[in-house]
Amino acid sequence: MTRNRVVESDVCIIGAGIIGAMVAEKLSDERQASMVVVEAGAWTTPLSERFESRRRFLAYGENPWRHDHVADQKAPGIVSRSMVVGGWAMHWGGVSPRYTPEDFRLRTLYGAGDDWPLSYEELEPFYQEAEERIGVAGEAGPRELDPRSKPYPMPPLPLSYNLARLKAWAGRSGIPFWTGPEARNSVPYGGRAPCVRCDTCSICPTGAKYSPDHTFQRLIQEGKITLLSGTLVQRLVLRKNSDRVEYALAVDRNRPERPVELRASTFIMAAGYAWIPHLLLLSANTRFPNGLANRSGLVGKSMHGHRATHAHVEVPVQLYPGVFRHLSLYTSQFERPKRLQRYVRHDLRIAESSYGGEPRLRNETGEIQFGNEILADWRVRTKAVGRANVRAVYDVLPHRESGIRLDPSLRNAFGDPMPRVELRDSQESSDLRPYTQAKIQEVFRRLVRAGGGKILEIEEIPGQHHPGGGCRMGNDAATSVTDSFGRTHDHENLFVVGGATAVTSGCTNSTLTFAALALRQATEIGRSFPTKQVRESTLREKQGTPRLGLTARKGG
Amino acid sequence: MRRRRDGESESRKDRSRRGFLRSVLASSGLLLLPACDVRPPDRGRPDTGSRALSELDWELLRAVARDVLPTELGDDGVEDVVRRFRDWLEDYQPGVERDHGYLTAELSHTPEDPTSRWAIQLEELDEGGSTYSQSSLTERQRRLLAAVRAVGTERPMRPSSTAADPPEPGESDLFLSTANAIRAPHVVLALLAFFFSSPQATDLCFQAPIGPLTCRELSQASARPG
Repeated sequence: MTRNRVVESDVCIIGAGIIGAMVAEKLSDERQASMVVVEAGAWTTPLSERFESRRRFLAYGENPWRHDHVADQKAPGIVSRSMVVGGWAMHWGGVSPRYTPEDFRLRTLYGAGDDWPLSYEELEPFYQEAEERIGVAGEAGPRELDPRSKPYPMPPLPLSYNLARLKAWAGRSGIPFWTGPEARNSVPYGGRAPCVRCDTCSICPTGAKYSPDHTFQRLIQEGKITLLSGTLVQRLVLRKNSDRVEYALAVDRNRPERPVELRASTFIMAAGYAWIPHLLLLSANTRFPNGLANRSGLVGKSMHGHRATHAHVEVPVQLYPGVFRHLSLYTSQFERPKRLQRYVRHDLRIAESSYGGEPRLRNETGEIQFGNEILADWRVRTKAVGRANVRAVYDVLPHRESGIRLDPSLRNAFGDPMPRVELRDSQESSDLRPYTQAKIQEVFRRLVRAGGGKILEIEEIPGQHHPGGGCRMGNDAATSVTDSFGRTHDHENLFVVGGATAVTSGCTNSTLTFAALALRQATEIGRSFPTKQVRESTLREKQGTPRLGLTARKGG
Repeated sequence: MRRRRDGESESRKDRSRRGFLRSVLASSGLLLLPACDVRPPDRGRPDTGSRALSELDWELLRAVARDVLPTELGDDGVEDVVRRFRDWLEDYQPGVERDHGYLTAELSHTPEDPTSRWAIQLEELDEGGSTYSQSSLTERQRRLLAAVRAVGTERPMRPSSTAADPPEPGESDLFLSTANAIRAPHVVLALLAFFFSSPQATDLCFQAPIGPLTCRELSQASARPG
């Protein structure tokens, strides 16, 4: 009989995405604690090969991220197959706005949704810390719309010619827009070079966009963590006659015949909204027959996300599409209403678009065209006009049953049931949906009335984006899974960090908020360990000359 | 007045556009170094077995390219597009995992190698003992239109798609990215899609050195292209 391989540490972090990276970096900066990060996926395309993988992505649509998922870890309804060192944030676009203070007090202010057990003011220092650790370039908006205690760590990325024209166009509406914050370097930062506008942010070939593998590589090189990739945690096992987690039982896919016991005093689950509840449900035992941390019955429940509505707009401005498209104008004006007859909040972003301005094979009357005709038709349709994508994201208030369940009909190679994800609107949210859409369309029309042009199409993207929840936080153990610091109500040494603990989804991209939550949670977790004498703070090291030697490559 | 291949006169405006293109080629280098440069990489490629790049009649494809690509490209420009099309096709690998979109749990793979199918379609342009190249312009246009119509291009125009509503093969999607050209149901559509999704085509349309997808420093980000 093969003995288990035992790996011991003070802290075991399950999941090596952006949340795991934030927690590992912060704890290693501030506390004396040995750390193991365990990741079911593999390492993906190294930085040195990303120009080539970008080239093949553009030429053939190939996945630029090799080995970025695990074949038998499937979950119908999940928003991404990514399961890799770095997680979804290897693919992400880097859009990094904050939620607004209202997001944390929806029930109190508007009588909708739920309040969070913490305020914006409590989270604000950790927003700042997340922006500094990730490296966010941004422009502060008007103070009444964009409350922040310090400037962004980097100046904003410069507006493209097109976006500057669109800002003037949108400004006629009286709505204040500013440059959207981005996790992309506008100056050398974090040992990485500035952005060189490759316009393929889902595969940044230079490392100018933050991705968590940079953090993990550095922590490994500095001997601060051990990262076990290709290692799938299958169960959390409790100490006998105790509610404390004793070890995580895992399988190393390279040596599946020898189980791995990950023993630690503190366990941190950082595997995202779907896989954290999945592991808790899989870990059911005789004392916790519904899964660990699930006395409330809320593990895998109350998941939430955004819905996005786009207006494709033709504007009376000559644009030159195709340069630096992955930057947008942003406003939080519609996220911050004072009083409301009916609840409606949304963000608003504007970016250049090629919608309806592309070359086409058939002309207006449906006749097939070839070269000269295609070109002439294209020129006519793009002369003296441009296209913009105006996007509003609004929050879907979650149904209690919105979430995951174990699906016994779908199992991985080890026989474990996989999750099935089904996000549902609450009745309240369903009732509000037509009203919300009407109000958003009013804003689209206001922009066009003031600036000129016409709306070509309004489109609501199906599904929910940026999901969170599944282990919602709260002060009452009967109605939540964790406290506001991510400590599970049922297990004192088991923490859930990041988006899985979020109560509602906010009205804008969530990654920065999830990172800020995780850093606040890591602060509390760290109190169990001795303070480290910090010689050179990681944050102070962020500024400086790129050490990765990544610069624009001619012809890239 | 100069005469074009199809016998029509070339206008001053046409010459101006061609002059613009030459000047961009000479001065910026952007068009010579497109973001989607498809030179074969150094690493070895697997032998796909059925690959038969030599099956394609490249002379015939050049003749087709001269008829279906914009005349503003000139002979050298058309030759350059055909060369890059060949490099692109040569470097293609079927069955490779495609980028998996957001909001989907499904994976997909690059489609089968179209070379043999496209070679047959090209041969079919030489119909009935009368070669394509020796036919009149009117006859060539008739054959091209018939061939493209025969493979089915009746699908409604759809300018965009989402991961939740993935594109099906069709001419409207083909023009949106070079990657889609490999799914073209006919070699003529593939060539058109390959060119019109290129940075070169954007520059030609707007008569400005925009150079989409070319990596470059931030310093000139706010400048008007050209």
